[in-house]
Amino acid sequence: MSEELSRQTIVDAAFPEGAAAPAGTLEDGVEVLFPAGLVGCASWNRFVLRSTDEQAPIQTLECLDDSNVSLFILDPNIVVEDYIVEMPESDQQAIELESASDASVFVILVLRHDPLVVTANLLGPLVINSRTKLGCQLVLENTEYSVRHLVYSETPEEGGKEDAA
Amino acid sequence: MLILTRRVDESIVISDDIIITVLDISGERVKLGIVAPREITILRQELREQIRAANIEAAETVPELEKVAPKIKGLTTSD
Repeated sequence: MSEELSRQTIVDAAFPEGAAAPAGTLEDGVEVLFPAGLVGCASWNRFVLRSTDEQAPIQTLECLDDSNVSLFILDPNIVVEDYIVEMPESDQQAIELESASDASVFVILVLRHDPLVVTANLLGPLVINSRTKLGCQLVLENTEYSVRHLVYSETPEEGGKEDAA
Repeated sequence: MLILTRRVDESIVISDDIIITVLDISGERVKLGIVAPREITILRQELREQIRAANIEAAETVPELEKVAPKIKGLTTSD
């Protein structure tokens, strides 16, 4: 099998207004297992997804292995158009992904306050198999995506900078 | 750390099924060819470090989501 065929490209098309995003298939309180943890954080394995109206569209992954760890995640389609994730076969197998339609893709947010600056990590997205509730973090290669993509800034003069950290 | 000297077209083998070959050397750049089982993840170290640092930073984020969420909600994908 060629390298091209061994990879599956998940294209999350922009969702028409009012339509349910794939994130909606993972309900509040669902437990997700990351068998390999997150990149560089191998002990972060078990998470509970929190999804409430008050914090929508942001969802929270609370780590059951470390109570200090909560990750705020977002549907990448809210941040960029045509976000494309190329997933190596090894990662597909790790979360038992058989169909791209089972994949929910999220990006992790970093929030800084006073002034409020929100960035999203587009380079290391999370993919959760909504059927098996298994997840993994990808490291995208050969993309222009930033690890600190600016989502929102209260400081207008920094509004255009993506890597203002 | 194990240090080995290799020439172009020479390889090292790691535990039977991972083979790393020096393909080309030009100035300060070395081109490596890697043959490994599919389940092995191979990443450039600096890229992996970027993601690791981002994960740690994200975990230290102070939430106040009720303040942030409405601002995110108003966004459109006009990038």
